[in-house]
Amino acid sequence: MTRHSKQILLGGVAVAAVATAVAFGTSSGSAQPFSDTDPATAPIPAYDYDDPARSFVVQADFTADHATVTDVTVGMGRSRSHLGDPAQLELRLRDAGDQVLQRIDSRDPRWVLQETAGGGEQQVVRPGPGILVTPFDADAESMVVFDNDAGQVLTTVDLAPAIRDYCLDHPDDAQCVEADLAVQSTTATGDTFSVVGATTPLHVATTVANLGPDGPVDATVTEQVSVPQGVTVTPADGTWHAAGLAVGTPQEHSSTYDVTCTEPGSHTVTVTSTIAADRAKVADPVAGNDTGTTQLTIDCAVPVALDVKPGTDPNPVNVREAIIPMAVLTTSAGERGLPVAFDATRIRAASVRIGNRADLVGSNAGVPESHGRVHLEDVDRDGDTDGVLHAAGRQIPVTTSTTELCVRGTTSDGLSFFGCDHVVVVP
Amino acid sequence: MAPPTHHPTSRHRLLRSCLLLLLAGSTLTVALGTSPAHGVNPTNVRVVVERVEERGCTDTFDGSDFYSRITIDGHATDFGEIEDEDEISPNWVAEQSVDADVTTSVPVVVKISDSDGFLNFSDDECDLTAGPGNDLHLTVDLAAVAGCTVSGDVSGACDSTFTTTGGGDESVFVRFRVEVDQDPVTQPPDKTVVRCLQSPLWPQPGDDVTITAEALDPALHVGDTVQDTSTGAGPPLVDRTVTADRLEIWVDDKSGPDQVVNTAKTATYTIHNVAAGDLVYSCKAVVGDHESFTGWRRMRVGAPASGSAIPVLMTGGRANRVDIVLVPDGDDYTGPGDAAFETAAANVIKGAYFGEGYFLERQQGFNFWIADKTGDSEVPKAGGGVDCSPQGPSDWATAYTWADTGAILHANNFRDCASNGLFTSEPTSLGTVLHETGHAPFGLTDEYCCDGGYWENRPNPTLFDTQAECQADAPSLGRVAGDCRSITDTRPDPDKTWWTSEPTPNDLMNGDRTPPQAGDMRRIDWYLSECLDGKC
Repeated sequence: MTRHSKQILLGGVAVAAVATAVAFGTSSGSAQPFSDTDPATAPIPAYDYDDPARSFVVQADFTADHATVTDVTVGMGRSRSHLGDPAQLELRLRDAGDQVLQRIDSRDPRWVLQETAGGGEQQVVRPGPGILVTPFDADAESMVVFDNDAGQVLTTVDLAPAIRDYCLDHPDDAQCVEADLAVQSTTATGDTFSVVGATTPLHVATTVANLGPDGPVDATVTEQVSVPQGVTVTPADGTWHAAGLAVGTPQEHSSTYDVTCTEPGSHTVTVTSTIAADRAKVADPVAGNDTGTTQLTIDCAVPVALDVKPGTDPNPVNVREAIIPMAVLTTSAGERGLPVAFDATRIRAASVRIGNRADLVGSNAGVPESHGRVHLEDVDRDGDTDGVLHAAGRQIPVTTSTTELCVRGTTSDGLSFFGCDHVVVVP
Repeated sequence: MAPPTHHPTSRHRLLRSCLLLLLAGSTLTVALGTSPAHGVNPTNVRVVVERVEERGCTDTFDGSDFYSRITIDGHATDFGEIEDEDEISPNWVAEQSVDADVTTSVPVVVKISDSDGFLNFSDDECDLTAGPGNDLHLTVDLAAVAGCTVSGDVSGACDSTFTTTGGGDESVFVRFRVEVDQDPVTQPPDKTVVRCLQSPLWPQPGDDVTITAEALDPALHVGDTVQDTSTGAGPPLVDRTVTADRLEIWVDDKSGPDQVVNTAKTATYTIHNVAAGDLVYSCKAVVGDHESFTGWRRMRVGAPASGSAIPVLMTGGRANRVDIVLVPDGDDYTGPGDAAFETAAANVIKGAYFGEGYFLERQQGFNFWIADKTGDSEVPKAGGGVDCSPQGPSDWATAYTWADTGAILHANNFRDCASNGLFTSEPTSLGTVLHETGHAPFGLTDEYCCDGGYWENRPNPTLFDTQAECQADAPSLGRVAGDCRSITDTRPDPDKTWWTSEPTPNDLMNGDRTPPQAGDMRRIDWYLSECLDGKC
C-alpha cells in the first residue's frame, strides 16, 4: 500500500490528512491544497464567469427500464463533477461513428434516499423526471445511458441537434468549427423530349464550396429530384460526400437519374441540392446558400403507330424517292402495344415533321408534310380514320444507312406525338 | 434527512448558562476573552447586548450615537459608538473569566450612552432601568442550587433573553442575554481554527456588513455552536471558542489587516453603507507559532454579476472548489432576499459546514451560493400530507450545471430526502446537511444497516463488497483487519453484504452530529485534492 507523506494544509492548519497514520489517495504532484496562510500573499478569488467549459444537459422521464428524453441542451456552465458519483449509471459519450469517447459514472436520478419514520434513511427507486449533466464535448454526438444495475441501456440520446444549435449560436467556441458551406451551382441536363413509357437519363451536376473561415470539413450533399404527375424518377434522391471540403477548393459531382414519362404533356422536373456538414459541431452561419435548385422540362409525347408505305412490308424506300407516303394510325390504348390512345384526325398538319429519330427528338428537325395537310382515310381498315402523310424523301434525306423513319408533331389539343417505322433502303 | 438516532458522542460539553442571543451586529465589537484558563474552576461569564432602541435618551434629530461599557467582575469592556441610528443590533459581547470556586457571585454593570458631540452639551447617559439610576446592575449567581441565575434590575435564569426599558425621560430599550460557561473548554495550547462570516449573508447596497471572526477549537463538532435539530432538540451548545494571540480581519485588499485584536476569542469589523458589487475579505487567527487562515473570500452585494446564482462565500473558481448552492423553498421563503432565508442559509454555513472542525479546516475548498429563485422540497401526497421531492429552481437544469450539491431549505417538518445532487433539509438540521453532503458530492456511502445507500465507492472507498478488500485496506486507515464489520442490505434486491472498517455509530455517515472518520476523511481529502487539480 502506498503511503503518501504529503500533508494537507487546511484552513492554515498544518495537519496530517487524518490524525491516525493514514495513507491518502491524494493525487501526486499537485500543489498542496489550501496551503495559504498569509493574507498578504494569498490569492483573492476572481469570478470565473468567463470559464469556457460547457455541459450537456439531458432531461428525461425515467421508468424502470427506459428513459424518454424530453429535452437536450448545451448548458452554458461547466458540468458538475462526477468524481464522487456512484456508478449507478454509465453515461457513454460517443462520436458520430458510435465510438465511445468518454465513460462517466453517474448517479441514477431514480435513486432517492428517503428519510424513514425512525430516523435514518432508506434508498428507494422512484421513477420520474431526472436530469443528467456531463461535460460538453463537441465531438460527442450521442449519449448512451446505461443502467449498470440492470445491465441495460435506458436510452440513447441524440446530442447532435443541441450541439448544432449551440455552435451556431457560439461559433467562436474553441470546440466549434465555423464554415460557410455553399452550393455554388446545380445543373440538370437531358432529353427534353420523350414519349410516354420511355425512360431518359437526367444528368445532375452540383458544385459545392466551403466559403470559410474554417476548414477543411466533411460534408454531405443531398440531391432531391421532385417530379409532377406524369413522370417518375428513379432514384428520387441521392447523396454524395464532399470529403475534406477546403476553403477555396470547390468540389463538383455528377449524378444520373432515370426519368420515365407516364402521361403525355409537358412536365417540369426540379432538382434541389443541399449541403450539410457531417459533424454537428460545424456551424454554417449562412443557411441561405446551402441549397441550389434547377429545373428541366420534358415534353412527353404520345407514342403512335407509324406505317411507312402502308400495304408494303418491309417498307422499301429509295434514296432518290421524291415522296414517301406514311400513315399515323388511330389507335386505342393498348392497341399495337401502345399505352395511350391516339386520334390521328387531331394531328395539326403544320406541326408535322418527318425525319430520323435523333434529329426529331433532339431538335424537332425534319421535313414538313409535303402538302401541308393530313389526308384522312382508314388505312388499316380497322374502322377508324387514320392520317396519311407525305414526306419529301430526298430532303429528309433518306440515305443508304437509313433504317427507320419517324414522325413528330402535335395534336389540336396540344399534345405531342411521336412514332417510327422500319424501312429498307433499296437501290 | 436524518441518519439513525444514536446517543451523542461523549463530548466534553459545557454547562452553559445565560445570555444574549447572537444577532447580526453592526459596528466594531470585541468580545474580550480571558487569558487562558488559570483558575481552579475557571468559568466564563459573558454578556451580549443584541438590541438597543432609543426611548428618549437622544436629544438630537439625526439619530442616536450609542456606545457602551460592560463591566464584569470589575473588568470593563468598551464598545465604540454607532452613529446616527436610533435602533441598533450591536451584538456587543463582553466576557470575563472568573474562578467559580472563589467567586460565586459576579457583578455585572451595563452602561449605554448617547454621544452628543460638543454642540449638544455632554453625552447622555441612557436610563436602562425602571428603578432609580441609569445603569443596569446585575448579579450572576454561579452557585445557585437551581442553576445559574441572574438577579438585580432584571432577574431570571441564565440563558434567557432579558429586556429592560428605562423609567425616566432619557431611556432606552435593551435586549440582552447572559451566558456562563462553567468548566470551559481547555484550550489547546497551540492550535486553533478560524471561522469567519459576514452578516448579512447577502447584503444589499447601503447595508452595513459586519464580519465576525472567531478562534475555535479544532475539536469543534456540529451542534456545538449552533443548535442542531437533526434528531430532536439536540444537545446543549458548547463553547468552542479559544483565545487567540491575535485575530485579524482583512477587507478589500492585501495592504494590511483592517482589524487586529490581540488576546481575543472573537473580533468583528463593520463596513458601512456598502456599495453594489463585491466585497472581499479574509480572517486569520494566530496562537503562538500556529496560524489559521480562512483564505480570501468574495461575496456579492446586490445582484450577481452574471448568472442566476448569488455568490455569498466564494473562495475560488468553480473548477477548483466544491460548489454548494442553498435554495429557498418557495413554500416557506419569498426568495433569496427573504431575511428568514438568509438567516437559515447563514445558519447552515456556520453551523454545519463551518460547525464541524474537519470541514472548517477545509473551508478554503468550498464555495457557497444562494439561488436567485425558489425551489420546492415537497409535493402533496394523495390522502394528505406531503412527499419529499427535491426540485431546484426553474432554471436548475441549465443555470446550475456546475453545482456539486444543492440544499433546498424549508421551514416545515416532514421526512426529508435526497436525490441526484439535491437534498432537502430544515436549516437547523445541521447534522443532516453534512451527512447528505457526505453522499453528494463526496460519494460517501451510508455506514449503518440495513437499507441505506451502499456501493463500493472507489477510489478511496469506505465500503467494500468483500471482506478481504476491507481487511486489506484497514491498515491504510490506521486499523486492523478485525475492525472490518459487515452491513447486510436486507432488501430483496440486491440482498448483499458489504464491509467497512469505519466505526459505528460515531461516524458522519452513521449518525447525526458525528464527525467524519478516517475513511471519510481519506475520501473527502482525495476529492478536494482532485478539485485543486481542476477536476471539480
